[in-house]
Amino acid sequence: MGFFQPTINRLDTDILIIGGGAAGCAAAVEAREHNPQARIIIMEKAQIERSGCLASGINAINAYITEKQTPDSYLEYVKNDSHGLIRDDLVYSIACGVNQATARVESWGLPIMRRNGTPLQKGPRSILIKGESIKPILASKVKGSQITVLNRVTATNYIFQRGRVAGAYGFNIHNGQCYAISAKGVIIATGGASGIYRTNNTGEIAHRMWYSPFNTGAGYAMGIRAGAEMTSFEMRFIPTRIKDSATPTGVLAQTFKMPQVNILGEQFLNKRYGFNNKKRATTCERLYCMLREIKEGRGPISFVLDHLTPGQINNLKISLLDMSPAFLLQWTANALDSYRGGIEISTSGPYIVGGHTQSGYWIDRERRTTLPGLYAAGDVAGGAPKKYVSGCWVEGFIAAKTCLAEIKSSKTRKINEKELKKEAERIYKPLYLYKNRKDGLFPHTMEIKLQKLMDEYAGGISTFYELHERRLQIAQRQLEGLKKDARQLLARDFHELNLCHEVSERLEVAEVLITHLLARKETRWPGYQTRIDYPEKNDKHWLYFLNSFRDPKSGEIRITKRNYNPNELLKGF
Amino acid sequence: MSIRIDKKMCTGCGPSKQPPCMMICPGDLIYKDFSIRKAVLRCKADCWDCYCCVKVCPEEAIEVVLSYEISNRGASLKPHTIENDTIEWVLQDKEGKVTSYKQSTRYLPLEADAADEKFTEIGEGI
Repeated sequence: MGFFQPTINRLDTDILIIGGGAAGCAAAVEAREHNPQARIIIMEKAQIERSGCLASGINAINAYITEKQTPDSYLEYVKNDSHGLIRDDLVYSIACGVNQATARVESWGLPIMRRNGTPLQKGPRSILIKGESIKPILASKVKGSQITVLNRVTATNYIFQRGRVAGAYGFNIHNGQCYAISAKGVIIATGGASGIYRTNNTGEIAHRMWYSPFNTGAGYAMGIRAGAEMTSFEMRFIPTRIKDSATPTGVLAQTFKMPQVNILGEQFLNKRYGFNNKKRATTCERLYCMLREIKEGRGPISFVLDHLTPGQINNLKISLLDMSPAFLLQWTANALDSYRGGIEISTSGPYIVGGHTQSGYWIDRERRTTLPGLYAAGDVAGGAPKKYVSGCWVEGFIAAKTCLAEIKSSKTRKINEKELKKEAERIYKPLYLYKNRKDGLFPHTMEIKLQKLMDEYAGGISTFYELHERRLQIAQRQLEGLKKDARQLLARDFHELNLCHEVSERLEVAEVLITHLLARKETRWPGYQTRIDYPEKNDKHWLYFLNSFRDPKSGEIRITKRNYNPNELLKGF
Repeated sequence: MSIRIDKKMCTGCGPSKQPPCMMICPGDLIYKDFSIRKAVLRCKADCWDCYCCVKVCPEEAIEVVLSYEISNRGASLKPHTIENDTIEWVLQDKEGKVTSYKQSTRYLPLEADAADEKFTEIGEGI
């Protein structure tokens, strides 16, 4: 490569876990507890103490079987909220495991709020926790379990041997060293993808978003390139969030039962759309109605604070410290206590995630992906909406057990030096191009263009997230241009080299996303996936999973259907 | 605007090649400039305002300063005292009124109406 000869670290392990977030840490600890001798490596792009979505903490466990619930009622809720199409088996397995998983993490040090010994409820399926240190607590458990953690090492591609995923390549984003890690089994746990679309926060506040701006879809991209089957990318997640802060509204809506009102002061969900306690709006319907209100000129939409006592407002502020301290600062700076207009709600995203919605790897009940040797857990895994943190733990535990059982008799093989050289050239190319004064683009420029085209043509906020075939085709065409230009990305240092890979990951996700958005010719999830050219739900023709995989010969993304048969899915539970 | 690293208070953590702020940032946004021996933020626009670096700085040299685009000036929120299982936050509004919040972070058997989660008004402008 001329000027730059990276140190190559060739490692060998039993289990490689890519991503040290909720699912990744859970998987690592579970693998250790089942096998005290197993060699376990976590590859983490940042630092596991504070990496991923849980950096600032979290104030609730939102997937929990509370006193009045059962796994069956939980499954029914998720299916109804997801408009009838979910992987019942995945959701049910999560429902059966969340309480135990939460108790386990509590035993590692996570404080759970209790009243007379019972977890304090935030909502029908949620409990309150003091989760500011959730990541340090998980990290501490990992570090105390003799698990090798490679911090600041991002994964770039899977290693394949004899048709199996046999490890991963990557590089250290601080010192640039190359990694080639052979593993008997690999668990992908890199979370979902943000920054695909431009939002209303741009320029200096572009990273004012709810999801982690540093989750850029590495796991998705690696799988897409390798031909893994993905599911449901068209069920995008567009949360309602407090305007300009992107903080969740859940605590306000559920714990404090604050209704949403439009500018006329109407509780519009009831007044204009007929929803009430008997006929509740689903999550995406609430979004859809809010968008309509704004579109028809009755925005902004707000939560009204009037009926809260000073004590309640104080408790609300304390719960913000557990998850979004920056919003407490913003609240104070903008004097929201005294503002009679209430707290304005807006939207965030769209995000592609397998946590709140179900976009991600197509997996079986044991969390195997369609690539032999590869298991998926957490937001990177699809099929199970409303998974939340505890669902990620459950999936991490399951994936680790499955992986361990299946690698018993495997052996790792020597790294293929030719392939390693090819991957190293691909990894470091942006540095090389810059050093040799080649014409090209810096990743930030590419990112802005991607986000603009997605916003304008693939259903971003500027079009109220609405989709139309003609616009999606424009997006598809423009994206092809970006993919070609991505071969000319430039990097001035290792940090920017990582940004190059991150934007390439987003391009891969965007390509699959647009294909899925075009393919589902119905509106199954209004708000998340509103097809104005096919505005109705059409169970007769569309009640099945839309999956996709990259054709290894042509490189095209091919759509494949998977039949939906809930009875089959639930056999054996 | 996002975080501001106070150049007078930042010591670069002495000879450390990787001060805690640089180590902890989930976005790899802080590096140490050895020519001035200080921690430096790479790009304001990329900051997520997550407070991770603020919490670990032993000199309290880092502050979250929200962009004027979304937040009026004059308020501040600092994790002032960080112990093993609590953080005491100090919130100051534009008028100078200061409030402190004691946050439990670790293994504590909390009851829902525990007395330590109280609303404490310290006074005007400290």
